[in-house]
Formats: sequence, structure tokens, C-alpha cells
Amino acid sequence: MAIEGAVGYAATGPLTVNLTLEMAIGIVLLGLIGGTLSGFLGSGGAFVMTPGMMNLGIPGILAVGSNITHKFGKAIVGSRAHGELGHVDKKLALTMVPGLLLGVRLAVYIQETIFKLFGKAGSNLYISLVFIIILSALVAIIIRDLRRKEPVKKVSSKRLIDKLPKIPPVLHYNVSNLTTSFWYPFFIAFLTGFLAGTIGVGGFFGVPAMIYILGLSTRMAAGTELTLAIASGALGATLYAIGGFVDLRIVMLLYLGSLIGVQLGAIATEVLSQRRAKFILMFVILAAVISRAVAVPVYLNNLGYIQLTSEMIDLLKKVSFLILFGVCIVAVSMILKSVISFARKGVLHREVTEA
Amino acid sequence: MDEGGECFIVINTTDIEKIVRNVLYKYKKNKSTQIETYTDINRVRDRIRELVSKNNYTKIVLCALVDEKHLNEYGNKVLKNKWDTNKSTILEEIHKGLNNYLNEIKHELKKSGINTEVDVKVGFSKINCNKAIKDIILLDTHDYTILEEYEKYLKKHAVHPKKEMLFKAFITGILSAGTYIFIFSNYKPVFDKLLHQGIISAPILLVIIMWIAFIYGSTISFILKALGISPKH
Repeated sequence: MAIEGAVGYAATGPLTVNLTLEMAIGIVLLGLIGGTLSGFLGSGGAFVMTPGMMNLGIPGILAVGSNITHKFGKAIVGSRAHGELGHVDKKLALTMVPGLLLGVRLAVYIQETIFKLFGKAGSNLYISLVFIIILSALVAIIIRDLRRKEPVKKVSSKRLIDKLPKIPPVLHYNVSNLTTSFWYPFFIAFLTGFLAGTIGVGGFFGVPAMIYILGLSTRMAAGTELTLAIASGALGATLYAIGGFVDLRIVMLLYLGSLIGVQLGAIATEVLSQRRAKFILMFVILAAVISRAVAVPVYLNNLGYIQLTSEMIDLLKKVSFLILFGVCIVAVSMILKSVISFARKGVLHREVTEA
Repeated sequence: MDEGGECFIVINTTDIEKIVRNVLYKYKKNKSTQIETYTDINRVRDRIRELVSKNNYTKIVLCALVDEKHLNEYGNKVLKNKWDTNKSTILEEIHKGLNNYLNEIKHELKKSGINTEVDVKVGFSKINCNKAIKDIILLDTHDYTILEEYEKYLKKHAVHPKKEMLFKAFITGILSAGTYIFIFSNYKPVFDKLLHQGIISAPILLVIIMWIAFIYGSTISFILKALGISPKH
């Protein structure tokens, strides 16, 4: 449940959280849910973790700062695994880094300015609105994809980038076999960085953009994006830490759940179908959107734009919390059930082989 | 080569020249034998199609040969102490892979209108030849080894020895627990202050994060490997 009065903020000092046991357990659970979704779907962890932390009473800016710091460590581990398999275009990643860092810097600047001008409620409102807009668009895309009876005919994305004018400087990337203007990867990276700096996640935009606009293979795009996430995570963590918006304990508690979840989610991909995965992702994102939308009147009340009774505020907080956590627990239970059945099959197979 | 009769085509997929030469030596009397070397496995397909269409064989036996001794050496080099645990599964996979490869060639031959009976065989170290065979053709893939093809498989799908994984999980688990206890119990007096010192707090934070992600991530990974349910990408 949201914990009232758990947050204390001094205008000149760092943002601190009085971490209670209840809150700590909630963060570990969020890490597990977010990690499982990330491991299973490739992304989605931050969709749940940032709003979930806000539901637990952690200020939005601290939730984003801690989440992007958490993403930094996870990206190092993931990028190393992709790198060993040759799924990283280092030259492309290097070209994209300036745009990415610029995007992160701008996002953090906007966050800090809103926080200084409107305080915690203003910052929470801004993050919630960005979440609602971005995630609603994402839900619409997934629904359209699910309603399509036939799979989309794969249009050669190389053609898409080839259709765009080659504004100098034009660079060639050997690993992805791509020749394009410096500016297209730059702008993709800028938007990815801006989203990462604003809501703690940018890969859900960066990976499809690299696939459909630059024509990279799915694996190459995922590997390269994870490498970029190291840079955006490092800069985001640095900037938020300097501003006093990172709590190391929150990051550590997130890891406690997420690093188990990531592995379990990855195992589940071997059992559950892609269509089912998309359904799960859609419901989780939808829950995050509704949960944030329900919380918006509370922030508007805190800013003095509307008047709500304390009973109504409590009710909205509870509904927001229950929608997100309820749907996530159901989604993760479905994924974990498949992991258990996978593990049982594995043990059975070993027994048969040994016999 | 004369027309008619049975042809035995051996595709050497590992460095087993000696064994294949013995096969050829055993049958070389009264038999037409030839050795061809290829560096590209795809070229072997073309050559088989060419050989079969030129000669009117009644039957073709396509064999893929893997030397188990060489496979052992290679497996020990790549997987080290994990090789023995994984050997049977990997042999099974290699057998399956080669069988598919030969069946693809068989299918291609049929598709191109060749109605000769085609038999496929995969052998480890030895293959029993039919004495009635007319021609023996060794297609030596030389630089190509099936093991190189399977190196990624060997590394990724390896089952890890349970005891070793549990021991590693124990060590990294203790380090992880120690890190968590140390940071949480000293958070207010040490880390809270240390991490709010402006610009110098950022590198400290990043180093701590990298350490936790590495050490705790390794613990989870070792536990799952010991349980035999680690994800295969």
C-alpha cells in the first residue's frame, strides 16, 4: 500500500525515503515482476517498476532515477552476453551515443526543472502523463498487431532507410552492413535517450526503430540497444545521483527481485508462444496506464487544481495500487507456472536419459 | 567411372583423414576411389549433385563421418571439465544435425529429377561399407569441421556440473549477502553521505552497482545452472 509520510524532502538536500519493511518487500516484488516481464518480453520491466514504486509512495523522480541506475547494471550483464554472440554493432553504438546522451541530458533537465518549480506532485504528474501517452500508443500498436490475422509481410527495412536522403556525413557500418547518414541513428538515439531519461526506459522505442528504420536484425538491434543502455544508464544515473535523486537501497532491492525474474522470464520464452506473450504484455501495459490515470487526480489535488476529500484520495491510491499489482501478479504467475512445468519436464527428461 | 553399380560417398566432417584413408585402402583394390578436398561445405552439395547426375548409379550411400577421438579432444578443449557431462547430448545433436544435412541433399537430388536410390548414414569413427560398392568417393571438407559449427552449441547448451555450480553459487552468494548486509547496515552513516557528495558520488554509485549486478547476477545464474533450468538463448 502507499505509505503516507514516508518521503521527506529538504529543498536544498537530496530526496530521501524512510524505507519501511513493507516498502522494501514491495520493491523486491516489483523487481521480480519487472525482471520477469523484461526477461520474457525483452522489455516491459520499467513500465511496471516506475509506476509501481510511485504507488508505494516513492516520488516519481526518485523512482525514475533509481530505475535508470538499476537498468545500467542490468544492461552491462545483457550487453556482455549479446557481445559474446556477436550481436553488437560497436561502431553504430558509438555513433548513436552523442544523440543518446543529449536526449538523456534534456530529459533530466526537464525533470529537475519541473521538480524545482512544482515539487513532488508536479513531477509525479508529469511522469504519469508521459507514461499514459506513451503506453497508450504502445497498447494500440499491440492490439492492432494481435487483431491482424496474417503475419505482416516483412518489408525490407533496408529500403526504408535507402528511401531517405543521404544527408552528409554518410557512414558505413560493417557489422550491420548498413550505409546511412549519421543523422538518422543520431535522432533515433536522441529519442531513445529522452524516453530513458524521462520514464527510465527507452528500449521499447529504440529497438523497433533500429529494426524498421535502419534495417538491423532483431538480435543486432537488441544487442546494440543494450550497449547504448549502458551509456544512457551511466549518464542518467550520474545526473540523477548528482541531483540527489537516486537511492542505492532502492536499486539494490530492485536487483534482488529483477535478476531472478530476468532468468525465469527468459526460460518462459521457451515454453509460451509469442501471441500469448503479446497478450500478457498488453494487459500489463494497460494496467500501468489505468493505474497512472487513476493516480492523476491525486496529483492534481496536491497541486491545488482540484479538490478531493481525503477518503477519495485514499480510494484512488488503493485502486491505482491494486490494478497494477493485481494484473502484474497474475501475469507473472502465468509465466512462472510455465517455468515450473519446463523445469519438471527437464528433470523428467534427465531421469529418462539416465535410466 | 563406369556407369551402373553402387557409389559410396563419404563426407569427412572432422579431421579424420587417417580413418577415411583406411576405409579407402580396405576397398581400394578393384574399386574406383577418389579424394576431393573442399573448403566450403556448400560446395560439397553441388559436387554430389554433379557426381550423381553424371554417373548412372543404382544406389548412392551418403555418409557423414565424425571422428570420436577428435571430437573428445575438441570437446575437452572447448568445454573443459564439462565435456563428460555433456558428451552424450552433444553427440546426439551432431548426429541429428548431420542426418538433417544429408537428408537435405537427398531431398535436393530427388527434386532435381534424380531417381537413384539414396541412403544416408552418420557414423562416429567407423562406417560399415557394403562390399558390393563400386565407387568410393571421399569429399574431404578439410578446413571445415562440424565441431566449429557446433562450438556455439557446445558453449551455450552445456549442462554444468552440479557440484561446481553449487560451490560457485555458495561463494558468490556469500559475497552478495555480505555486500547487501554491509551497505544496508551502514547506509545512513556512510553510503547516504557518500552518495550525496555531488559529482564524486556518481562514480562511486556506478562501481557499487556494477559489483552488485555482477556478483548477485552470477549467484542466480549459478543456482539455475545447478538446477539445470538455465535459459538457452
